[in-house]
Amino acid sequence: MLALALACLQPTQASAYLKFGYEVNGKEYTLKWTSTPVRYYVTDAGVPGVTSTQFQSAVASAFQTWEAVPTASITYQFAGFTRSLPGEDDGRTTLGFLNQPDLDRVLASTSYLVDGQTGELLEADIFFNSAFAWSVAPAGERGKWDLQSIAVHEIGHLSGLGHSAIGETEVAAGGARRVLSTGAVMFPIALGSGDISGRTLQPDDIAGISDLYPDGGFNDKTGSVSGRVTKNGQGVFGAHVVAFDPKTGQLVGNFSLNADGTFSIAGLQPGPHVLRVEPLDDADTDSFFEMSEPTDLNFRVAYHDRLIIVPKGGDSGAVSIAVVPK
Amino acid sequence: MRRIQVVLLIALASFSASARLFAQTTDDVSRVEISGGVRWIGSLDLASVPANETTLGGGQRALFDSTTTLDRSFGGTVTVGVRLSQLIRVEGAAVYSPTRLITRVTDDTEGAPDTAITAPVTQILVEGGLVATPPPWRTRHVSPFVTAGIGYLRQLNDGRTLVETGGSYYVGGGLYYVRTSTRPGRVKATGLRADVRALGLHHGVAPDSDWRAAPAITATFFMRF
Repeated sequence: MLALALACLQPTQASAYLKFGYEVNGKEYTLKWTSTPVRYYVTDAGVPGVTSTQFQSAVASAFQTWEAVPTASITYQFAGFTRSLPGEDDGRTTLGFLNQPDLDRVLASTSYLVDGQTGELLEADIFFNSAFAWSVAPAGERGKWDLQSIAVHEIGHLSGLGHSAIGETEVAAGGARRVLSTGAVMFPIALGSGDISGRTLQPDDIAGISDLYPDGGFNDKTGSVSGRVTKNGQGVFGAHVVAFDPKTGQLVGNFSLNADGTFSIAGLQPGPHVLRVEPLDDADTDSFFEMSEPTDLNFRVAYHDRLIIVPKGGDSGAVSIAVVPK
Repeated sequence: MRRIQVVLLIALASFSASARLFAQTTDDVSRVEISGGVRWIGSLDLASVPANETTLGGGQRALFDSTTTLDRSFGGTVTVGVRLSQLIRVEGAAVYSPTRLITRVTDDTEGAPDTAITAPVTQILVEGGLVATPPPWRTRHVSPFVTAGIGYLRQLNDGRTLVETGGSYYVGGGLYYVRTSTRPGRVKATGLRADVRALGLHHGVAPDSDWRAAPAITATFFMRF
């Protein structure tokens, strides 16, 4: 068995969004469930303000949010309450609270258990840090973190999605980053306590889950754009490329994920798209890539000079975007 | 709607000016009219859509703003018309009119300069309508007319990667300048025709089914048989 923490997984070159991959016995796998429904258990223990039953109800709503995506096939099934805690290698996908006061900036986290021989994903556990105050109030509660919103984010990880970089941050007092806005539930930093906007998936999230588990004509009805980001003629690693639909305002992003600077964004509505390229915020890189990876942050925000027409059920063809150093 | 009103006023004014100059023209026996020429179509505003992200509390914050227009175009047209009566002519036209989609990106929150991003669009219109030439308004060489019709719109995006279809209508008016042929033969008259019209388009590359109107000016050389 291989136990994988979220941070140990590598972003893979995917046809959309940021997905996770890993290597077992020299073979590369994309992190995803091969059979559904994904059966999950809930730890039968609550915290002040949230009983285990309320917890189960909130995470069931979060699972339902992903399940309701019409272009994705993934389904989930509540298997019952358990005394097990998340993080135990028992072959059961378990969600529950753990008290982790040392993780003072981690609201919740997802870990995986993978078969070391076959590469099959066996288990994905989510712990919610009970060192924080939680709420299951329908409209949220000031000063408490909305359990359902955070569960939607973590269930995205449980399903195989990585972080999205569609969002803006600024450095707050103490060096932490404060979120100004997000364009995806899978943005790595929560907007703030009391906020419930994370209960609703954004186009970037829908494109990601649909790309992992395509259904409902997803591959026929949507298209993709692919290409390369270069600087001084060389490929750029880690450039954040966002496709913007000027008809609908939808934003879907991905990264250039190799030394050649190639990228691909799938799940786009057919029609014209604006391509915007930006470097990651300096302090954000470890939310997306290993610190050892050569993520290039030294270039200016740029737009591709042509509208890219995304075809229905196909790819735009190679797009080349040149950026310049800051 | 303002553009439509302007065009109609221009058309009506041209009729008023020529109404008192009526005289019977000698090409009234001609039945078929074939014409070819050029058409200019004004730009259409399609959408102003911000790249919104969600803020704490569910508000919106734009990463940047965008405004998309279908650029003005200049293309060719051919028309075939058949006279039904002294007053009415029915006609069909095909218009080939290459243009561009232009998305202007402004106010990027990370300081990227404002920019205009484009993609070519091949635009084809197939139209059918009526042309009314009131006899009292005709002079020997000049015939004012009003026209209206509907059409089919086909817009092909860059590289024909995506075909968008829609509908159109037009209403307007203009002038025929007619020179009657003095030679025996099939051609009974030749001349120039110019009109201004309000051209309404919907669907196609537009983000919705709203009708959007643009001014259009057509100038053709015609032959009557």
